[in-house]
Amino acid sequence: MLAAPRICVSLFCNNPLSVLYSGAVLGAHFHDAMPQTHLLVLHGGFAMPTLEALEYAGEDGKLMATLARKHSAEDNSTAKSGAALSTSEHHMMGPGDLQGLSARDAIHQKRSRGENDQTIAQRLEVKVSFVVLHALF
Amino acid sequence: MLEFSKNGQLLASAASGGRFVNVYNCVEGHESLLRTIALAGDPTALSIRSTAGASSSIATLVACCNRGALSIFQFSVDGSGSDVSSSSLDLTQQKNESGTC
Repeated sequence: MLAAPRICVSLFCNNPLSVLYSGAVLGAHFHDAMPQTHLLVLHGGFAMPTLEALEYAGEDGKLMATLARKHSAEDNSTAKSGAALSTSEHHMMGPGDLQGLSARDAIHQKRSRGENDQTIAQRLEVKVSFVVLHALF
Repeated sequence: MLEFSKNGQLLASAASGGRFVNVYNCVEGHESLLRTIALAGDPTALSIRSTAGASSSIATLVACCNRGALSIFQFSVDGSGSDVSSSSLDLTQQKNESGTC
């Protein structure tokens, strides 16, 4: 796993403490595609945030007294599918480093400029993080 | 930051540097401040949902704060101010040495 680079997203620049904790919740959203008893939580680091469905209410719609993450295989698959929604090559293109190029072209250009693969991968992950954050909020 | 519920009935507002979230009723003819909810820290993200309950609409607000915790509040849109239930989740476990904005 790559080390998370030190970055600040403008949306969260007023809350520096949130980057100090490895497991901080970065955002949460009621998503239409999810059951009404669940919400989508984005947590972890800004470079590699994790999307996770969190059950917060019972079948009667009332809040659970305590909230906890699930660690089952089903929960992991939910997180992976949520992340996969925003990691297509299309979503990785945009303003900034990629400048409208495909991700593959951008990587070739960066390699030709002498940047190593880890740096490139980190930048792409940061860009994906931006896309995820903007898509959700 | 401002967040409307999907049906447009509720509006949640908060400002960085303040710990409070205001929830407004946006139904035409009934516009009013419904609740002021205090968070543990500065709000960083809000989302609000309105669902139809047995006798009145139920508002569910989720708020993240700059300490990395998540809080969920639920209350009746038509009820009194004392019926707010809440639940919170704190995923923070260890402190990183780096990083300030």
